[in-house]
Amino acid sequence: MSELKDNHLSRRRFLGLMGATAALASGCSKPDRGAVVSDSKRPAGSVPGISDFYATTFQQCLDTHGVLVRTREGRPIHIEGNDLHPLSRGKAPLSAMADILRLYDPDRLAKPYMDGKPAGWEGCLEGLFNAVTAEKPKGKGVLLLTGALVSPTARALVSDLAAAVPGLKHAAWEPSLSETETSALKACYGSGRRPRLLLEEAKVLVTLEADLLSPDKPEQVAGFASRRTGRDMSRVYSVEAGVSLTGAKADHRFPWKPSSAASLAFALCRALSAKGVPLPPGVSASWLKPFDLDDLARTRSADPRLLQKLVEDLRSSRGSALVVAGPSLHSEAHAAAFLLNAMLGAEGRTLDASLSPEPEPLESNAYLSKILASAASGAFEAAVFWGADPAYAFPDQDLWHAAVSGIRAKAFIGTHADETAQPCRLILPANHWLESWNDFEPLKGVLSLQQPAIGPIFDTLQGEDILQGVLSRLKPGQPASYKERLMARWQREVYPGSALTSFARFWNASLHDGVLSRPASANPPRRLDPKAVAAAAKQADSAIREGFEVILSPSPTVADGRYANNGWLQELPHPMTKLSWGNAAAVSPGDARELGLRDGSLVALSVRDRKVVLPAVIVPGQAQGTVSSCLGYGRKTGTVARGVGVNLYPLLFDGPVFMDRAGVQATGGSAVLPFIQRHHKLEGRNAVRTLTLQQASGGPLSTLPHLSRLMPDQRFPGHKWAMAVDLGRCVGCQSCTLACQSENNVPVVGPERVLKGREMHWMRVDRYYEAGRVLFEPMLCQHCDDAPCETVCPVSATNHSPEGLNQMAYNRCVGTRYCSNNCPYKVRRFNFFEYAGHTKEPLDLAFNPEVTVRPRGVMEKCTFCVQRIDEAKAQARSQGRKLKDGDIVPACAAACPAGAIVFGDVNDPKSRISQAFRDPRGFRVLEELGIKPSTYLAEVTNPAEGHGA
Amino acid sequence: MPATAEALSRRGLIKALAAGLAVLTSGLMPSLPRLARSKARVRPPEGSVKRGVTP
Repeated sequence: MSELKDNHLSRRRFLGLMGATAALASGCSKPDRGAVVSDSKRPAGSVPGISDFYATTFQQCLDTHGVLVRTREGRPIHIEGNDLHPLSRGKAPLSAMADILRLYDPDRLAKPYMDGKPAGWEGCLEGLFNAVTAEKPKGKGVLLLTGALVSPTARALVSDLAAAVPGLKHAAWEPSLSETETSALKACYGSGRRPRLLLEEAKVLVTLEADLLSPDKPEQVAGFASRRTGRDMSRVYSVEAGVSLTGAKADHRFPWKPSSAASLAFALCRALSAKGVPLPPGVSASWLKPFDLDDLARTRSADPRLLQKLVEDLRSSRGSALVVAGPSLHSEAHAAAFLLNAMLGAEGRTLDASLSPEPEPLESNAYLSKILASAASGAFEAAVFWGADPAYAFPDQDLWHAAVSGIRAKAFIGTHADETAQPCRLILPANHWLESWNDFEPLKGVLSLQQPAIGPIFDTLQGEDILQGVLSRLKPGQPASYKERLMARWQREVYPGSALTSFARFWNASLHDGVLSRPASANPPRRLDPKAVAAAAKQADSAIREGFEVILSPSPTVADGRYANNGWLQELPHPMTKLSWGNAAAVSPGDARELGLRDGSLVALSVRDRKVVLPAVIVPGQAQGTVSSCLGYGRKTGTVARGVGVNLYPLLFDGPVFMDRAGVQATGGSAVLPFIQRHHKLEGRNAVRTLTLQQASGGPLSTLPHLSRLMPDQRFPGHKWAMAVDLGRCVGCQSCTLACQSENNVPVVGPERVLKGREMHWMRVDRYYEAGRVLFEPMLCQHCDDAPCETVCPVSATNHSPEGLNQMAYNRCVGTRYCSNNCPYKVRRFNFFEYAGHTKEPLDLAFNPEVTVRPRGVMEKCTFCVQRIDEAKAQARSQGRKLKDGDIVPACAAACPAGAIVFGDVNDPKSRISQAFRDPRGFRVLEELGIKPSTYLAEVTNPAEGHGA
Repeated sequence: MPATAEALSRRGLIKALAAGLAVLTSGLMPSLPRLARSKARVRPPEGSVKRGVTP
């Protein structure tokens, strides 16, 4: 320092300069220019930090579900089922839970466009009005192509519009919905009303190429699961080509080509008739003569004794048996299933059509082809596309392009500028369903309301409001908005007109509950038309056909492609193949050997003159000579969806029914597929346990009490939180995974990082193939009492709470990943990147503010939804009471349609979780490690005597 | 003091210190996640009825 002193720089001056330099240097870093907006005006009626709930209705194709939307500070952040809805019973479909992401999708249309340029609503609505109502040359009309219009008010609006606009042709089209069941219902019963399947009443269930356990049908999953435990459990037979969730849970599964499903059903009818089960009036036994069960068993390599056992089970369970044919089968298979159900006395017991409404008529691909052909020849002057995407999903794209060029004025109404929007002059952005009004009638007497949970985020209008605007210009005196139209209809047709309750009060009460039940007249009993059965029996063909049979069905995650831009659903793997981010052709191991295929080998799938190349995946259980795959991929628009998977719609000539005489050839190429699970066998370890019904009455499975221990047991004097998963109820649908992702701000990492095993799901559903069966096991942090992850953390970032939670202090974690290495369940996830930092606006609005968004370099994992535990505690405290069993429901348990997940306090001996811990079916995964993890309840199967382990 | 230090002027020393500090602060300090409040408008729905609110 003496030199510095010599230069007349005092110590004080030196430190001052140093400080200034440091300030200057730190000031040079890039400032965060994120806007800081003061919340000086609190949203009316909303308390910061407190969740609000809105009951509303989610619609997808022909199905509607009552849901409850959780909002925080005005933002919808999570969706669960509406507990007051008589059909939903508190469970939401997977698509509804995931579709919250589409509300905040940065790809959403934010404003209207005209001629490719942003335009105001006034000009756009004027343009639409002019296009629709312009003077047309003689014989020319206007095409209104929509998706399924299920709302009675929306249907009435379109009818009024069709009456007001001369030459308006409305066609409703859903590319992934098969019309075979409806046409069979119309032929056999004179009405297309779909009956409800009462799976909770079915003692014997037979499915023909039908998956009843889709996560988008939570009421069916609940009914099925309720009969899969206890002494009176159901027996399930599944006849199918590809392995579905129903097939995976079946006690007996027959790999079967769909072309002979109708023959099998008629052969079952004949065998039942031979055992004395009477045929319905007018049905002749001679019609069934060509169908012999033993012949079919021989030619299809099925066990004839097991098929006879199936007949015996059906005979002995008359009145509590049910046969269901799937949408990819032809009409004759449906008619055969109707005949079986009539013989078994299913009507009114396991099937209920008494309150089913008449379904919305949908156009087939063949009929849409006619419409588009007439459009190509200049039959339509203008066209409005709303909720339908033929540019992506119509199989004949040449015809589509010809039709588009034949229409002068084209308008598009939708949330996203999809393939159909591209050639349209007018692009009108529509509200998301969480910003919309509507009503539905899923059953006669059950009215379900849709109300907004948030005001429109962008400059959008509800689709119905756009059409209402056109109608108002044509016919003055219309309601000012679609909401007013809806209210007027309810006041006119639904409100009972009581003097005690005003309409406003009645309306608000209906909105509050989200659903209104009222008395309704039942449909007249259905009678099976014998002539339709005779015609179906003639059509059923038991001949063995050459070539492969191909079954294409909507994806269990991205559906028909409408959710393809949803990162959560893209990353959620296919429940059976465990493939994320794309589709593949499922082939049997035998066919793979013959064709020289491995997972990822590219195959050319050819049907008639069309050919599509896609990767193959080998699925044990797939019927030999069949290929199954998913629709909904290979989109050309959407930041997330573009280029993911292969579009298989070009193969669907006749809609989504199976196709025969198909060709499968290896191209020699291969692709690397982003599988979430890469190992499929248990390798002799009993990490998943299955018992037969007879074995289930034996002693306890768990060996944990007998393990000798060196360390004293941990003590949890207050609450001790724990979870149990009942594998008997779990159907592997993955609703839990998605609900957890939504609740806990779990990031999406993309296919490249899935390939490196860096997916972030806190909860996954493992799928194993073992002894000819498919086993599912939801796997999450076990919150072990003696957690091996805690002892290796060098900074104590992961530690145990006094209430038994294995918890993470994120800001303490230095990212050594020792904990993940030491976790036997591999449920810890590491943030290799700053995923949240790359969240585009307004996607960040979907974050749950109660859950920390984790930065790069930090480990994370299941917390048992600790934020929900704290919230329930605070609520109980404010109400001056103690916590009671059922107050705390983690997101996964709330979402599970099967009720397989139980959570609670094991220190409370009366709680459901304590009962689960005492269940003799209880076992711990890898319990030999002695780390005291959570509990699972072994799956119970009910195989026919002499046909199971 | 070695010869190199003698050759370093006061101005040079300050410049060197500033540069070093700038490198240290910009290079070693991790960037914080940019999670500023979204600019998208959040408006309450009009006419909807919340669960739990007496209709």
